[in-house]
Amino acid sequence: MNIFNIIKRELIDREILIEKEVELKLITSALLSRGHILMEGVPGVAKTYTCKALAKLLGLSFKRIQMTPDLLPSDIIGFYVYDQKTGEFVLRKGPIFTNILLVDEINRASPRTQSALLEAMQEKQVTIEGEVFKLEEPFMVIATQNPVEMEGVFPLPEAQLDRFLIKIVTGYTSTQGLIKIMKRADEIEEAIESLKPVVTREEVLEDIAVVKNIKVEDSIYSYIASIVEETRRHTAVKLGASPRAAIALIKMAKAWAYINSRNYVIPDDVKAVAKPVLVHRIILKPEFEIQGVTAERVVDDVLIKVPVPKP
Amino acid sequence: MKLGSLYPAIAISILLLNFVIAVVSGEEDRHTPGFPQVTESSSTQLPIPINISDIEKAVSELYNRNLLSREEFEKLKNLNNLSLKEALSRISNDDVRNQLLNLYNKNMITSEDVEAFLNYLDTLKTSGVLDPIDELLALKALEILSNTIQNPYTSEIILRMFSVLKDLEVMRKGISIPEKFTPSSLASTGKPSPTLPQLFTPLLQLPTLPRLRFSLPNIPREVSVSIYIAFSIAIALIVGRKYLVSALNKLRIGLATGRTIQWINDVFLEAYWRSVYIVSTITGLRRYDWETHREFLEKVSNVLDSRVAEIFKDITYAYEEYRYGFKSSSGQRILGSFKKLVNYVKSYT
Repeated sequence: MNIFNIIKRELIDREILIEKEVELKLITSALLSRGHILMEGVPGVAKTYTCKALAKLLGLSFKRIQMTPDLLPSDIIGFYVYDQKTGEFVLRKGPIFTNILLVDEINRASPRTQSALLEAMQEKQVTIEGEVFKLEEPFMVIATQNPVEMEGVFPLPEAQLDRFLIKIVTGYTSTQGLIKIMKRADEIEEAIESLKPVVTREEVLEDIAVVKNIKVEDSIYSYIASIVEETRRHTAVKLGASPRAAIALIKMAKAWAYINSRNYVIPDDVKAVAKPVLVHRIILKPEFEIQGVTAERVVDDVLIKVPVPKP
Repeated sequence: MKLGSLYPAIAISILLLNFVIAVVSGEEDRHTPGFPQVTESSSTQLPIPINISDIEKAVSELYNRNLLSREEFEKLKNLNNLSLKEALSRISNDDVRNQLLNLYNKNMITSEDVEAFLNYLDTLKTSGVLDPIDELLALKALEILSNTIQNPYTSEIILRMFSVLKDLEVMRKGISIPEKFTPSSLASTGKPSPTLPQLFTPLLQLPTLPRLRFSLPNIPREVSVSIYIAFSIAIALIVGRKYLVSALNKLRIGLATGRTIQWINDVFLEAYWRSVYIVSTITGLRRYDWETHREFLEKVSNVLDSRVAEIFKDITYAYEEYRYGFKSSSGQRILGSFKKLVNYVKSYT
């Protein structure tokens, strides 16, 4: 039984998280791919609950930062303080020293603070007063942002967006799901608080190693390359997917294959993760954006245009 | 050719057929709705005056040629100036006379009455109980009665009278009318055909009767043949589609299962792609280039027979393992399931 099956059994089958299977699958895949996640969704759609429940089950350390415009980079990374007793400067580590970091409303932080996350996300290390500190594996940033707020926010720059392995758009639940949530609201809250780790950190790291060794046939690489190149050729696209996007696609496809109990990647894996991997990396031409063309539609067009490997 | 493409062919044939008919009939069928259609184009080409005095001339001609007896001639004498009373008194058929009297007793006769009476005369004539002289007199009486209404029957009545005279002439002389005998052919020559007796027959040059208002114009033979062929093909395709589909499917499956065609160098991969072809043929669902093997499996599974769907599922998963999972042992599984599929499909078809 792989890691996702365990998470599913604990959270989905027990109805602690309702209608969140796809999100959980993507988050787990990103974790096993050692990537970071940008979660976009209106307030109150269980973004934080999902991350918290996952961290608890995996026996990983979990911290949360609520971003505000006056938050400083040192508030995230950490800083040296003078200890009067010892007469030495002592390192006070910031919340980034964790396994899973939930950055709530990332677009409320100033660009300076946002960029402080860059090094940590890409290099898995931070530099404080010239000293480099490695972050403990696995390290995953789950940043959330509200798509409807326009005032007092600092939209993430493209360079930073590209550093997120996937973007998950969380929507509302169905009516039936909503009724279930209302009936079990108190139970769910208690259940999340009482969750115990069912997977150890070491097991997570083992799974990450297994995912790295998932087999990928050459034609799958060609298929991914064609998809990425096709995003650049699309008429509505100003800036298509980068080589980093191609790497993200193959990593996610591998993790997706593993979660689906396979040790090899098939084109379906690539298709399944294409949207979460590509949509936030595609910049549309304004004239098409005004017409209502979306990055999701561009990815759909691309997937219909690019032939799957044959024979 | 995909069978699906037959439907557009049928549709095009039917559309073409309708178009041809519409074009051909539309040429002559333009008139204001709600108004009676005037006589067809030949009426403008052949402006022959219709006059009851011509009937008198024809009667005299027949009498001169001994085709009418003295008594008959007397009855028809001065036909132009006959009053209703005189006309009625000369009719020997009581039923006809009574019918006319009934019409006369109505304060105002209508077009329907006239038409009904003409139909009545036709019935009597067909039954052989109506004397031509009585018919002529009855038509004259009807003509007088119909003068009180505005209708297009006056000319028709006169034409009928000519028709009666012509029939009388043919009957008594034993003349047969040639098959390709048309008013226009005679009109073009300007004189009666030499094979006909020297009878003044304006009827032959007269325009089409108004009651033929629904008749189609002359359609060229080529157009008729084309329409017939197109229509026959369309009907044949519609009716025979089921059998044609079945036959083509058998042919395609036969080709796909044959051992002589080598599409791919790898026999296991080839078996998978042949099974895709077979399943695609059975279901009529095409596998698109952008579609993955699993997407295609899901698509056809909803349509396929559950047994075939199970076999094809096994082939697909074995293909996946062999192709992407580098599991060579799955190749044999593809072949095994492929054989099962072929056997099942052969027995099924």
